Amino acid sequence: MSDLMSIGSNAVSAYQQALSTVSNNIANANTEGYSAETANIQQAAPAHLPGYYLGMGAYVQNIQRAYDNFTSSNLRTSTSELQSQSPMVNYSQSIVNVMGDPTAGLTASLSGYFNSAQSLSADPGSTDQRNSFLTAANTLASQFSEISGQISSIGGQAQQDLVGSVQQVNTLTSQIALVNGQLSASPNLSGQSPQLLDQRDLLLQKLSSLTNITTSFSENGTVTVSMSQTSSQNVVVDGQKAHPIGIDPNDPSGQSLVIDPYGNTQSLTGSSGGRIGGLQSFITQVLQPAQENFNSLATAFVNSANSVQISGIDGNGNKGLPLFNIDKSNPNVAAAISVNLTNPLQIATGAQFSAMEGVGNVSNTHANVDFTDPGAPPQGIGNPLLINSDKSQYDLNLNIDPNHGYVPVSSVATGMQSPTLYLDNAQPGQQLQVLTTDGRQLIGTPLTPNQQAQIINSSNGFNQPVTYSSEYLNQSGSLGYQGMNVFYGAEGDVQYQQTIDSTGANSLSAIPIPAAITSGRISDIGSLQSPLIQAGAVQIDGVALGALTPSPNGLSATDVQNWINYAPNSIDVPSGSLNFNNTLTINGQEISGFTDQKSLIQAINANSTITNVVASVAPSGDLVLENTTPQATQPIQIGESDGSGNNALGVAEGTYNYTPRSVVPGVTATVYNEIDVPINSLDFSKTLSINGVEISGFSDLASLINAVQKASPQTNVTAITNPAGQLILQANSNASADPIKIGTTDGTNTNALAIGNNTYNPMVKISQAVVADTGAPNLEGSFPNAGTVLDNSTPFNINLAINSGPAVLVPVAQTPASVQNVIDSINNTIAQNPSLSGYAAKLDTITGKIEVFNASASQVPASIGTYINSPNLNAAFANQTTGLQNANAFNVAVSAAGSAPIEVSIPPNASTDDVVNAINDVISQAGSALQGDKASVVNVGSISTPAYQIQIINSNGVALSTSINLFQPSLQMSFGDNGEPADLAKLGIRTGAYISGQVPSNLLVFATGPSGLAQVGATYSGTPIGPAEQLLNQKLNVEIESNGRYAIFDNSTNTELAVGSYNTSDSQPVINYEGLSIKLNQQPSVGDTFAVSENKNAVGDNTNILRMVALGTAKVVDQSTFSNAYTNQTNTVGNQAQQSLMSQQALQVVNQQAKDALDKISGVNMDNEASNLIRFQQAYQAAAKTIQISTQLFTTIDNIQ
Amino acid sequence: MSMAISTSNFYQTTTDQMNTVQTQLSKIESQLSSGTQNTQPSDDPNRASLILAIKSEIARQTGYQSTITSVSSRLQTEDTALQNVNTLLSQFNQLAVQAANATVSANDRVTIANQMQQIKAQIVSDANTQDGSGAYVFAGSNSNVPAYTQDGQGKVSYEGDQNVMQVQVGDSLKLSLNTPGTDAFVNVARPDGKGGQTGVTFFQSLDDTIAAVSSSNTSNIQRGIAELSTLSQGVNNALAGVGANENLATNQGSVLSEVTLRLNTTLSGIQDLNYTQAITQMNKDQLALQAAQSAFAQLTKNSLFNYIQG
Repeated sequence: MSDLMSIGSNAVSAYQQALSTVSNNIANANTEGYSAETANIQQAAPAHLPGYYLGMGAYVQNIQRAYDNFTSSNLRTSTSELQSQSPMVNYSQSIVNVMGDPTAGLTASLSGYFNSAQSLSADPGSTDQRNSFLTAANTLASQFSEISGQISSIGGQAQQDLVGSVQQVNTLTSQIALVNGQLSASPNLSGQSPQLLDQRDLLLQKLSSLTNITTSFSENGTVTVSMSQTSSQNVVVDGQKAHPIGIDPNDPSGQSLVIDPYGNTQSLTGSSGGRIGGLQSFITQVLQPAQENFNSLATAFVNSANSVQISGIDGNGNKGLPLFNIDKSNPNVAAAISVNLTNPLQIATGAQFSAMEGVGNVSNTHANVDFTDPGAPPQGIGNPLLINSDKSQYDLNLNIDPNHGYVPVSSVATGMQSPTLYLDNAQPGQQLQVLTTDGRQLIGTPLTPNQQAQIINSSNGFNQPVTYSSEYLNQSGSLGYQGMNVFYGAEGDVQYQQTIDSTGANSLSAIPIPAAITSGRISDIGSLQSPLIQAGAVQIDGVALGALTPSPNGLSATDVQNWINYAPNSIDVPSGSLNFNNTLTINGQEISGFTDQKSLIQAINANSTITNVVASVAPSGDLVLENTTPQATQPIQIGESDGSGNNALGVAEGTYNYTPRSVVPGVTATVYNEIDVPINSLDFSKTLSINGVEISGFSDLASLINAVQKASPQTNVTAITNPAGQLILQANSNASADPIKIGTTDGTNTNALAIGNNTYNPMVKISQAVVADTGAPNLEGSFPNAGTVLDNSTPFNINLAINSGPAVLVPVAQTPASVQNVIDSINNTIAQNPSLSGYAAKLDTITGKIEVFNASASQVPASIGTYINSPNLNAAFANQTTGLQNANAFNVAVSAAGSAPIEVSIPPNASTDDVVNAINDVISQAGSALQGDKASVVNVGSISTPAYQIQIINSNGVALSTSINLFQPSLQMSFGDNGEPADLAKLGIRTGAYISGQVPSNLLVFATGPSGLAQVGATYSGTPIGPAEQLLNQKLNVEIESNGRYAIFDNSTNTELAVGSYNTSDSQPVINYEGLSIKLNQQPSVGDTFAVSENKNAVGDNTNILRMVALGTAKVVDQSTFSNAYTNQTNTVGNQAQQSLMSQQALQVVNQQAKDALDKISGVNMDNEASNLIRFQQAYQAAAKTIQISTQLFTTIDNIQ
Repeated sequence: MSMAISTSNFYQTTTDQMNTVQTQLSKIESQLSSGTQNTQPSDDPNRASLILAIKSEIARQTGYQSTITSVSSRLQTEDTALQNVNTLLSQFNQLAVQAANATVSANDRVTIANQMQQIKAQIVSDANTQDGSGAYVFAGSNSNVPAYTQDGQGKVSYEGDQNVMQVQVGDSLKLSLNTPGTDAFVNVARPDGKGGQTGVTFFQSLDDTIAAVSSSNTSNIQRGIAELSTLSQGVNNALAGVGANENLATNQGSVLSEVTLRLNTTLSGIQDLNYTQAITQMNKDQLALQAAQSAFAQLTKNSLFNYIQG
């Protein structure tokens, strides 16, 4: 009975719980994440009675949560995939809508721009059309920037979205960690509250919509979450700990993720899917490429439009400025475009060049000129191995091919400043040749027809067509190519020492240092039968030197010195006075075996080792007898051997004494010997001997110098240092012609100077006295005493002539000099000048004048005057046209700071205005160095008492530190007809091809000669300029010289720049020059001329704007027009959006299936619940009935009792 | 065991379906109201790109057309001026021939020379013709100054240049915009007396003829008449060139109209809405929506709870 009762009550309680579960399901039917629950009713263990088992009813074993792990996980994965598509779809579509809008997109503005250009081309002079083109350009620029801005703003939204999604991830993971904490209270899953588990699964579900996650569950239901394919990597929830994620602040694209941004930051790679993955894909795969493509379209457009604009001439007659400007500080090029021009006249509609027919042309032939800029200017110096070096050694060994007889050295571009190419250690026959690319030879020796054929062709860089001309070969100034100054030989320039005044400023005048050329070490090459250098082979300052004949015991530096300093004793014999029937003795030696002039010369020269006299024929036809160099000053004795009293030369018999004269006025050669050693290469641990004397007791530079100085009385060598960081060992003046022998004392090969153990021969320095500058004192005055100080502000030279002999230059260096200084200077010069030996200068105390006396102290007639009496240009003049009182022409040199002086010729009797005009003429042709500078006469005094000075003022009106000095000519060693670079090489002097100033044309340099090594080097400055810049400064004249042949002239210098041929069978012949293409509309007549120059009528010309129009249809970007390239870009983004949209639709279906699958397991179905409700209610009522029956049974039993 | 679908999911799914149909309907409605296929480029990016490309093509053709209009008016100006010059030259020629007649007196020749002088002045004036915007049509690109100026002695010199400007009137067609003065008023070759030839300008030749008439230099009058035929030939050549360009402009204008029409037709084919199709689609969608709505209403009634009597 109690069993019945308890079965009933258990059942009631069980169904009550079942009904609660149903009602809970109904209540939570719409609760997000709720899993339907079922009450699991279980049969109670039956009671074991003898012979049978009695059922004991039922009870609720547990409430089961409808859940399937696989289905949940499946749903999470498909949610991640689905959610990753929506940012791709939505944001990409936004971009398409911005770019693809027919009115707001770029194509409309591009069309507007090119149509405006088109309208402008039909009426280029119209200001209205220019204005509307400028407006269209502005519209286009702002459209570029508008579109770029909108794309960026969509990118910004995506970025913001990403930040928000990341924050959501962090919220969710920390909530999951909390749930994990609550779950960890129970050791197993069955003990967990279903509500907690639902919450966990709901959080996971939400997380998966943001990113793809991997989960792993422990036994009690706690979950580990990672943002990767494996559960061990990128863990964001680990038990009760959540690891926050963030956006990598170091990623410029702002889309990479990191774990733990504020702690132990690690990069989060390999995450994918979900909204975050979708946003990342959008940023990297759509947004960034779209921005990059749009920016490169913008760049390409701006570059193309600008390159058209700058290749034209604007309405003001100027070269076009860039049309668009890009703000470099903005990484988004498209957003940074602005229009650079404000004035419609700045639009360069016109071509750079125009052609005009000559007025007197017979044919009505038109010339149309087109210019194609070949792009970047060529390399300044074409040969990259030819580095700019001021060292005196070659850089490059070039092999002259024996089959061709030449080797290309380098090209030199237009615009380079003062390039010089050197040939070192020239072998016999070697030459440097400099030509323009149009075949005009400028420097070298005339090319033989064979050399022309070998060298002048397009493979060597010559223009086509090309002809050879030697008209400008080695010519300078008005005879030179475009007024160029060139020189072939060896050159020493006057250098200027800038003086600093007490305020530290550069003074306007610089002190010239004498120009010099130094030889190599003169080595003993053994005595030679014939001269080492032929008479006339080498010239100094245009004066031919005699033959250089070595001393009998070999060539010495003194031989070279005397060769330059002293013209040898010579006898000039008119050829008409020769009589070959008579006999001849020279210096007592009989000369015989001659029958004509030629055999006479041979006979004289055959005896030259005995007589020291050689014979040659002068250009005048005279026979010249001359002492050999070492015996230059010896007398020559002429006699006869048959007692007839008549010699074969027909000259008076007797002794012909030497008349002292210098070879080249103002040029002196001096023997010296020095060894320059870089201080940093010295090795103080090694030994040293100089001229066999041991130098010891040194451990550093100072002690080494001391030791050398100490031994100086024995060695005749002293040591000093120079500012260039060199130790210089100098032979003392009494031993300047002696070699210096360097060795060791320990028998090793390395000495303390770290140079070879050698005998170092002396050298020769050839120097040219500077021309006296302004302010030379009046030496004709009467001086009270020798201490009187003169009034010169600069060094000056004295022209000293004794007994009306040749003038000798005496430099006076002191400023101001005293009378005694002048006397000392004269006596120094006399001491160095054997021809003046026996003379001395002193102050005549009676007359108060400086006079010259001979050895017997009798006064000799001598003239003492300043070398050139030039006007003082630094003086102040009373008015602007004051005459300078110079009877002769003179030259001044104008130099900007840091650049080579430019020579200006001033005519005789010049006024100050003449000087100013001459300087300005030269400035206008000088090119960049002096551009904008202007000479003028400036009042440096007051208004009441004006004092005028010639000053050079720059374009800002600031007086420059530009100096005006007397022009100092260079010291030049050049070649006579029988001379060549090999002659200079015999003295260790390098031959240079010198160009002064700016190079006006592209040049090509070659070395010619027999096979062998050509050793070349170069110095240069400046930067190349493009042909357009050069041509715009020129006026060209094309002349039809004969049928099929044209010549192109530079108008200002009348230089023939190029000669070529045109095709006489072409109906429209074309003449090309330096990128200019001159098209004639028919065959021209002989004598027709066409002037080609900068276009002066550009405002009405449409040539250049037509090129802008052509850009509209040109395939510039990826083989497309700008418009098509833009449309393609729009299309690319559109296709990406479409693809994502299709994926999204497919994934939607998959996701719905996954949802349905889970829903079938965990969802609440009301019909089910309703039927359960009825079922459990009925069961409940039945069970209650059993209790009632049990109670009635009790009552029945009670009643029985 | 097949499991029942959950009630909340059922509601969600049916609502979603109705939303989809409604979105479609609203899109068709916007298509119908705009008359175009798509209202947003993102709806069909390929079509949108095609529309952009065709529109930019049409814009370019329109640009060519407006250029042709302005070129034609300029060519017209040149044409008129040159025809005037042609007439004037034949008058000049008649006078020269008249003056060459030996029976004409020296005084009469001076009168004739005066008439010729006036004709020359008219020719100079024609040579300085300006177009509608004030540009001197025969001055080449130097069109803001008169093409010919006369000095105190009546010597005429050319101030323009020889630039023949071209304009783009089709993707591959260029048209000459102007005739430089020296092309219409050509030089004439005259023996230089040294066996060679020298070029004499148009107006110099006229001046020399006038001078010859007024000084009764018969041989020079004859030379002038001979030269006049060259000068006249030059003007005629220029006139022919201008005429050819005018024809070209007219022809190209009609070609461009055709091209533009064709492009517009293509564009409308791509861009415009097919109303029949759209309305049919709309009716279908409306029907589907109604069906979904009534199904929803019916199905929601079918809850078991409705049958459980309290």
